[in-house]
Amino acid sequence: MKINLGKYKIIELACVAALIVFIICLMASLSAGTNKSIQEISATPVKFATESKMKKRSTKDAAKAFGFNADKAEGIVYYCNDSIMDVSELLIVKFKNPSDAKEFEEAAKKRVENQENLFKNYAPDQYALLQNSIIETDGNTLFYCTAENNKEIYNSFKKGL
Amino acid sequence: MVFSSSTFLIAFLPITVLLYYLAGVKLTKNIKVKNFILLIASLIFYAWGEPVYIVLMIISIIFNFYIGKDIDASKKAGNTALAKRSFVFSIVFNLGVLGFFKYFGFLIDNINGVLHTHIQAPQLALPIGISFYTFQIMSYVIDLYRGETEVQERIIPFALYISLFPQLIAGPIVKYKDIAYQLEHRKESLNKASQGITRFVVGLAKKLILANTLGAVYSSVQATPASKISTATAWLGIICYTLQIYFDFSGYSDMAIGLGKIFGFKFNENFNYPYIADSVTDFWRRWHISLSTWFKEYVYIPLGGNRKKTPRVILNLLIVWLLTGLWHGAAWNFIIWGLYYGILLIIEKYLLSKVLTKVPRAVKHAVTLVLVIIGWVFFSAPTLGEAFKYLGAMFGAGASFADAQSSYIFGSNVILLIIGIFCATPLYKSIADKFKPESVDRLKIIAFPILLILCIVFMISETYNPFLYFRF
Repeated sequence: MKINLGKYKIIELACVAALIVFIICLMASLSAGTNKSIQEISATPVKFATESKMKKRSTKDAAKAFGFNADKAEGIVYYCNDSIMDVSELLIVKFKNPSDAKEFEEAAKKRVENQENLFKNYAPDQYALLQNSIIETDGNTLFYCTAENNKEIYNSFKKGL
Repeated sequence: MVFSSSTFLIAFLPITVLLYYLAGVKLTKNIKVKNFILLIASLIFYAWGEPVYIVLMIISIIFNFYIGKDIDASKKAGNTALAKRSFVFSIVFNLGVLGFFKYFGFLIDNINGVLHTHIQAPQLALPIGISFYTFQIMSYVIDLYRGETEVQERIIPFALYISLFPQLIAGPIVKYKDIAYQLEHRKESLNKASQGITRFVVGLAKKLILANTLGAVYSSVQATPASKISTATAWLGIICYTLQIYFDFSGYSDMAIGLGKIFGFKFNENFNYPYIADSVTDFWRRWHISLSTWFKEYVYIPLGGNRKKTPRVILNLLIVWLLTGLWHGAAWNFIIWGLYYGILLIIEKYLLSKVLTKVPRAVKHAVTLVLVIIGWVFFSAPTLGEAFKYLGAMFGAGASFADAQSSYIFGSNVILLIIGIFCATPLYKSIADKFKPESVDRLKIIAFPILLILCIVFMISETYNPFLYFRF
């Protein structure tokens, strides 16, 4: 019986090559991060936030609300509403090290989860906003927003990167 | 796509079943057509949530299909060295892919932690179902190399085995040798389909009605800082999680087995009332059976299993349970969870085996349940530190013994807990056995549509809520 082992080996090696190319493309698609300052990145999203009656808060307020280590951030922009019955908020963080992305993302997720638990049973409109909140990390930045026009704010953030 | 989503239930499943039965079963009666329809449906199912990682799965399918042919050809030519080389190549490839996508970030995080370096790990999303389908692929290659199964000559059935949508995302892990015949010779029937639908609805109800509701209770407890949780709240929370994970995962397995039946497949059971176990060993014979069987067959026995001297058996057990923990997730809490069971099993096997025969079953059952519940703390916590804090709250380091939160949780969920505990045991089966089968069937005819309507109500009111085992 004639065995065509060569053909199999070629296909196997082609698969390995395809896998390597796939991983390279995947890694390349991950943004290494923006060089722009936090003020530049957040300029337009902040405009939308203030239009939505959100007020600027300090880095300390952000760290308290989200429970992250603010020292790991190069810059933090945090806006939220004065009313405790309004869950709208915007957080943009530029980290010093992109490897910290997961930590900030987890903090934002935890914040949304906690807010959901608080509002679930007595403020369905606010709960619905929280369920549609956007949390995205992109290289060395994190974007989190809960607001009616959060998609618009997110798009402006992406354009500003 | 998740089974409990409206996209799946209203669009994907009816279209797939219709196409399968019309084109495959009625018109052509050709297994190749049936397999092709199921393969396309499975690829769409996977690509729905993972449009990028479908490429990875296709590469794995092609690679392992040809490795299989390669190993078989080498063996038939009597060249065992070449067969071994291909086998090792395949294992390195499959574990390499799994390792890179699942464990690379964890490894880098630990290197950074120990050496205080700042190596940047790529923030890659975990390809859904990679742990499940990689283990399925490996079962094929290993069995083929050992001569325990025949080579699959056609790529469509092979690709279908890897990507079959009912069990692609969260198991059960189906070994190739268990399904090889069915891939090319299965028969559908109205009876099987009706059993499949019933099983699917049971799974859906477990997930939507029980698991999600219990999960919401646990989430509210988890959202409270551990230092402010009372002992009673901590126990109530983790008991809810204990029931949630069972209904969530066994519900998915029920749905997978049910869907398989609709398409003529028979998958092995993955659960057998694990919470009635009277020892940890017994628990693992009843929980995620397909995973325990996989590790036993492909790791524990090849390492020497029970046939070696005691120190080596202990080492084998620890290796298997370390790997079981790691399989569940790239985090220290999963590793500790795995080793926790490894140590418990060693203690049971070598220190308590004689004592346990004299202990009343109720006591053994209670102790096993407490040990399993403690295990779930490691499993459910986001980090190892959080797990220890939660354990502290369970054993008195929290705010108080009981407080308003524990009274509220208990008061508002006592019926849910009773239903959960009842459904986690075979009690309802014992009750059903006392009635005539015809009466039970008549009751089922009324009960299942009601259950389905309830599921739809829960599905509409619930938001996106993926299965817990999806992340593995």
